[in-house]
Amino acid sequence: MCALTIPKKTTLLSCFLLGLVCLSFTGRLKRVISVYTGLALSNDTTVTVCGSSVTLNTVPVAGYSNPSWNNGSAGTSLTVTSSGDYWWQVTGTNVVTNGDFSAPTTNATTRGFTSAYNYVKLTTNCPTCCCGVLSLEGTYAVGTNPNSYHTQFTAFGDHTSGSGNMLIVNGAATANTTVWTQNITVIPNTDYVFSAWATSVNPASPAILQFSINGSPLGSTINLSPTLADGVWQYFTTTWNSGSTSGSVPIALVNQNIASNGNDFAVDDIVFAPVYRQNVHVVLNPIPVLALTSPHEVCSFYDLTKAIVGYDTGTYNYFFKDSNGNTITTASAQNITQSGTYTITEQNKATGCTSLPQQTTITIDPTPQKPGITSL
Amino acid sequence: MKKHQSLLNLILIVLFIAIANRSAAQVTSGPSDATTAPPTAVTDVGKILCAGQNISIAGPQDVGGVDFTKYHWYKIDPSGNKQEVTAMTGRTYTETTGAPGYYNYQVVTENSNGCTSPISDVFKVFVLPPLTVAITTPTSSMCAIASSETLLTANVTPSSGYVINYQWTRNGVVIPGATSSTYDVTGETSPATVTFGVNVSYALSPTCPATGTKDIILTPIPTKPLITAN
Repeated sequence: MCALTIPKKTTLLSCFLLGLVCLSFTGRLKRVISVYTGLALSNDTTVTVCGSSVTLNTVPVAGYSNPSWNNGSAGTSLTVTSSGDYWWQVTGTNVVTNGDFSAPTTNATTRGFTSAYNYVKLTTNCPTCCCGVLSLEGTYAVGTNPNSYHTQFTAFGDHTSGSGNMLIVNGAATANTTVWTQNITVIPNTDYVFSAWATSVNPASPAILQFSINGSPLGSTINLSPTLADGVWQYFTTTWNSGSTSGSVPIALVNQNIASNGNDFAVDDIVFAPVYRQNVHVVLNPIPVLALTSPHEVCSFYDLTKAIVGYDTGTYNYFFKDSNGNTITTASAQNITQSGTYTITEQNKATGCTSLPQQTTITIDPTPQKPGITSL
Repeated sequence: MKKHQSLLNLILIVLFIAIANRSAAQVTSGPSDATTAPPTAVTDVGKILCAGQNISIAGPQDVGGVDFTKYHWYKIDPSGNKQEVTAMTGRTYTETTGAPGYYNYQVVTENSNGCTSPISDVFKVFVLPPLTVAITTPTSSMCAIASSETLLTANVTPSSGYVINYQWTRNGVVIPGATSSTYDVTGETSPATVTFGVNVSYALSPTCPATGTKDIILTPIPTKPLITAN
């Protein structure tokens, strides 16, 4: 672990490369960013910021591209407004063939994958189909509009472009049925991301999918949202470290939902690629709000701390400056004998966050000296 | 009924005023300290006054020689607590004295900004008790002969606690060296009535003296008799 102290600044567009993370700030960076260096997925960065938001930026990683974030958004930056755990990742070359289903659908070879489901196309003859060629459970198609394959499927476009192909599935009533599988080549000791976009094509009984690799389930199940509308693409991803595995291994998408009614979905943009992921733990600390009373006209001297609303030395450090901008000690601040405008800031002891400087005007009136009494 | 109500209101008002006056600071008109022994030297206090003299003390002016906006005068009460006597615009405070003792005061000045000074040190005024003297003697008549004598004694009130200065006179003329509390009349050979006097004063203050007189009748002695024979 290494620690870096960052100077405070009101608006800091500080892009610092720590080998792992680059940040720009709309708030004020507190003090220390702790960075765990390394190249495994356990890379963790803690970003502690004073303010209500912080913009996280990715950094280039050689051989990797397509930066994306834990919320599914793409791009090199993400502005977050709450404390929590975030990550970004960049991926290497996608080793999935025809993951966006854009290749010709002539046969399994051209489609690039196989399935335990039965493939149909618009021209498939299906005398028992009530509502389209995908009327039967356990069938799938590759097309541009689910509604074209089943009259009870919602019409919408694919995830890639809105007009391309997607995998359209009428879920089987048998658990652990492989929807999509493909052999890919992996190299050992490498982190991979396995991701896909999916959506229900019919609101009934959303599908429950699961990634698998080499026949073993990978990650948690993919539960399509029962509340999101059909055609709202949902991003699912999991990671895998190849360890000692090398060569060709099968990767798959498996359906765990055995409902016969509903359980219909679409999949697009399947990716299996080496990945570099950076975990970022964000801590947003509020900036203290300092309030002062002003002005003050007093005799002899003034205790500047009396001007602070809610003066609390247990929680805050206070910093005082005179009219010339010179720092004065707390003891001096408690015995101001010169008129002027004084500047005060407060710093939260626990977070290190410092308030905006506030000013108060003090007028010191002269006081008569200690009198003597004479007899007349 | 209405009459009773008015009477009740009056009683309540009187009670309120009485309570308010009682709760207000009570400023003594006598000395702050009537029990402590008198000062042993003039420099022990700020001022020594004779009985019946008024106290007149003043606070300072500002650096420009102008009176401050206000003077807050405090007097120490017999319990040792200071009580604000007055807050006045002039810098001179006067008070009629009563019983002898120490009258102790402090003052705080206030300028036009309303800023007040630290309180002054205590200024002590000591008021002396009235001084009287009476001359006593075993006899007011003596023979006008050099060997005759009588002792005059000056009895001073107060009789103790103070150092008293004495000066005896004979017919209004100072008798050199006669400065004790007694005077031995002797050497008087001329028949007459002689007025002996004594002027007394406090050693602390010569400005409040007292005088006593005593007439001594000097009787002529018979002439030397001659014896005759028939």
